[in-house]
Formats: sequence, structure tokens, C-alpha cells
Amino acid sequence: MGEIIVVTSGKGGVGKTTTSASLACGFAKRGKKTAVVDFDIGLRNLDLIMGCERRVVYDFVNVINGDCSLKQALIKDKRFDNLSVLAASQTKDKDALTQEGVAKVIDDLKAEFDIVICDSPAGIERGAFYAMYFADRAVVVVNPEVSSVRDSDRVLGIMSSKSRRAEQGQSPVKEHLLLTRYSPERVEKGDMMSVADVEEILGVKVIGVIPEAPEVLSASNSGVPVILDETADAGQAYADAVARLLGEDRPLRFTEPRRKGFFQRMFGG
Amino acid sequence: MVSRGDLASKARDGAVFELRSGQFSLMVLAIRHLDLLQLQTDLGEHVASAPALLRGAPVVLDLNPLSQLADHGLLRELIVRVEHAGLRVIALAANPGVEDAAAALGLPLLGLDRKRTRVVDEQSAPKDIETEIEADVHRSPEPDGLQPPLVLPGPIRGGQQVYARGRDLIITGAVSAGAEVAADGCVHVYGRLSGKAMAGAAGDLRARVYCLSFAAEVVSIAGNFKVFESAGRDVAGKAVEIFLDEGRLEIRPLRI
Repeated sequence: MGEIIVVTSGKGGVGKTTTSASLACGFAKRGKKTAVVDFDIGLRNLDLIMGCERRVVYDFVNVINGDCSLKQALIKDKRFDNLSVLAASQTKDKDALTQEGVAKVIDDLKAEFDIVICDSPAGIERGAFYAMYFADRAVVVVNPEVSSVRDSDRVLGIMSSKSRRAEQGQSPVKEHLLLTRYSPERVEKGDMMSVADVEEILGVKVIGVIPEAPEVLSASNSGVPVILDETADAGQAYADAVARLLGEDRPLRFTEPRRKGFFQRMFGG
Repeated sequence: MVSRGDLASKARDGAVFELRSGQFSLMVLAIRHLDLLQLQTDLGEHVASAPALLRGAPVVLDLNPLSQLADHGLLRELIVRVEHAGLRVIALAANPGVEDAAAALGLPLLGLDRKRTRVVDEQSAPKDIETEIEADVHRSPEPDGLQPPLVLPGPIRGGQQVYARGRDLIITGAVSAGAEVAADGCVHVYGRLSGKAMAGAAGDLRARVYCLSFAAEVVSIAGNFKVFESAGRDVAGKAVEIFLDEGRLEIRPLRI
């Protein structure tokens, strides 16, 4: 039986879809049979970031409504043959999701895949609720700023009381923080909350810290998740996060300001 | 032949009921002006400002000095407004002139010793509504059984509400900003208290709040509340005890 991992945050624009895409590719690269599901019904984006937007024929809502089989709706990734994408519907809204329908899809995916990543929409409405409801683990994406931290706190609270695990009295959903858009230089200047600040307020440990970097945006725009850019700091940071999710022990990188070398200081860099 | 003594002891052991005198603290809603619309709006806002404490709370309606005006149509309207605002009227305070109205509405009349009532929250009470606490003089002859505290692991997250009815509340972890923890007894937080804490939610003036690191937004004891836009430097982040001293909320650092 596979493991269900929800990528959530409460707040919008913090990097949930970017993270879902990178984690999915990361797990696939490490040999795990992986599916990634877009729960943002009506505002689908994951297909773009994964670079499969022209191959979406059937979507999540079609599967729930019985218009097609799950197998027909799963889009195979061109880079990894053990990675599949289930796109959200662009035409329906979130009311198209039903608890039984989502449960059936999730259970079928769980039987077929090692890892199922649920890319949650922003907010705490229906789509976000179903994305987290079935989770075994949660990766809460946080930006180092107060409103994102507050929304993450709320989401963690909802998860601890309303998830399927909580309702059935099983061991709680395993919680991880993933800090994105982290700028060590601004943290040093005191403009940004540090890793330690966020961990202390939320009482949860980080599983990864992704530095703010231009490569993230360009990777998203070109449909190649940034984790596949092995030269980029952000790509390496995501690879570290995947390794930690698989139980490996890796020290945090890219959390200290970059010291300029002698030549850079002399000639500018 | 059974002696009278045997009968009496039998009645004591196997009795279906027992009449005892109990002591309750009740909130008294004193109406100062008959502006029903204003009352509903202001009272509704008031209830919304401390929902864990006030929402659905039973109150005794005190019409003094308006008692003479009370016909039961008006009174019925007034009670509807109060209930829409979120409180439950369970009785009327006995004043001359309200007996007929109370009978018509089927509400009991309670004698009120005005000297023993006091305003619950001085800071935010709108001028025409005062919420008061009555301490009754009847004392229960024997203490009730000890209620075990409600013990919860932290963290209590933003948006979550916890209420320990008739007992203490112990949180073994943090209370996040935006969370509300309330108890009829004391509230203990073994962690950082960043949200709202309410002790003595049913009116016990002796209830206290304890925490290991103080950063609360609001603390209330028996309805006396204080809003902390920023905690004073002497208590911020410290282990503190919060209690009522003659109706004033006092915060004292704990030496641990």
C-alpha cells in the first residue's frame, strides 16, 4: 500500500504546486512509483508545471463521475515512466468533489503507487479539505513571513482534528514543514523570519529549506520542475527534502548567506 | 415491625433523589434603555468578542429601572433580541411590576441582591448594557466530587477552541495565536500561550491562568478580560500567573 502525502499551506502563492511537482519528480527519480494529483478543481496548474498540459484528456472530476477509468485519466510523464499526473478539471468547480468519489480514487491510487502526492489548493474549503483528509503525511509549505505562518498553523490544526486518521483514532498525520522563498541574506539583516523562528512558532521541524532563486520561476514556466535542474541551489534543496522524506539524514544547505570570494569582491559578482 | 430510624436510613441510601442547596454564579443582564435594535447589535458584538465565554450563556434579565414599563409583549420582544444576540434568558430578576409578565412567559423570578453584583468587564461594556455577576449566598454543605482536569497535548492551533466544562484545563504544549482555551476552573499551559485564555468561564473569581511563556492576545478570568496588544516587557515570554485581585486582572511572573 502506498503512502499519501498532502502538500498544503492555507495561504496561496507560497509554492505548493511547484513543491508538489518537484517532490513527485524527486520520488520518481529515486525509483518510487509516484502519482501526483491536482486538487485545485477549476484552477488547474499542476499540468503546466509538470509540462503535460497538452496531453490532458480526462481529469479528476471525470474519474469521480465515472466518465472514464482512473487508468485513462492518468497522464504518464515523459521523463520518468514510473510517474503519473492526475490533472484537475478546468471547467468544473470544487463542488464536483464528493467524499466517496475522492476516497475511491485515493484508495485505487494507493493500491497502485508507492507514493501519492496530493497538491492542495489554497484556502480551507472543500478542495483543500479533501486533499488533506486522506493523508498519511503532510508537507506544509511555508514562506518565512507572518501571514503564511499563521495560515499554516490553522491548516495544521484542521489536519490534527479533521483528517481521516484523526477521525478513525489512528496515529496522527505526520507533519513536516517545507520553507520556500528563503533568503539567508534577508534573515541575517533581520528582515525575514529564520528557520528557527518558524519552527518555534509552529512546533514542527522543517524537512527542507528552498532558497529564493530565479531558477524556480523559469523552471515552472518551462514545465520542467526545478528539482531536475541539478546545478540550481533550489533543485538540490528539493532533492535533499526528498531524501529526508525517504528517511535519510542530510544537513540543511543554503541557509547561510553566501560569502563572496576574493575575486568576486575585487571584480564584482 | 420496622422502626422509624430504619425507614429514615433506608430512604437515605436508596433514595431516587436528594434535594440539596447549590451555589451558582449567574450573569445578570441589566437593561438600561429600551432601544431594542441597539441592544441586539451591541450585545451581539459583545458576545462575538468572547464567544467561548458568552455564546449560549444563561443570563438573568434585570429590567430595573424599567420594570414598571414591562408588559409581556415588550418583554417577549426583548428576550427574542437577547437570544438572537447569543445569550439565553433563563429567569427574570424580581422587581415590582414584572410578576405578571414573568408568569405569562413562564419564566421564574429570582431575588437579586444588588449589592453583591459586580460588573464583569469594565473595559468594553457599552454604556447601556452591563453584564454582571451575582454571587449567591447559599453554600452547598458538602463539596462536590473532584472533577478530573481535561488534559490535552499541545499545540492548540489557531482557529481551534477548547472548553473544559466544570474542571481545570491542562495543555501540555503551546497555544497558538488565534486559538481559544477556556475552562470553568484554572487554565494551565505548559508552553507558549499566544492565543486567548479564559479561566473561571462560569464565573469563578478564584480561577487562575498559568503559562510557561506569556504572549497571550486576551486573558479573561470570570469575564474580567484584558486585551494585550503587546505584553509588557516584565512579563513577555516569561512564566506567569494571572489572577483577579479585587476585580482587577493581575499578571505576576513565576519564579521557577
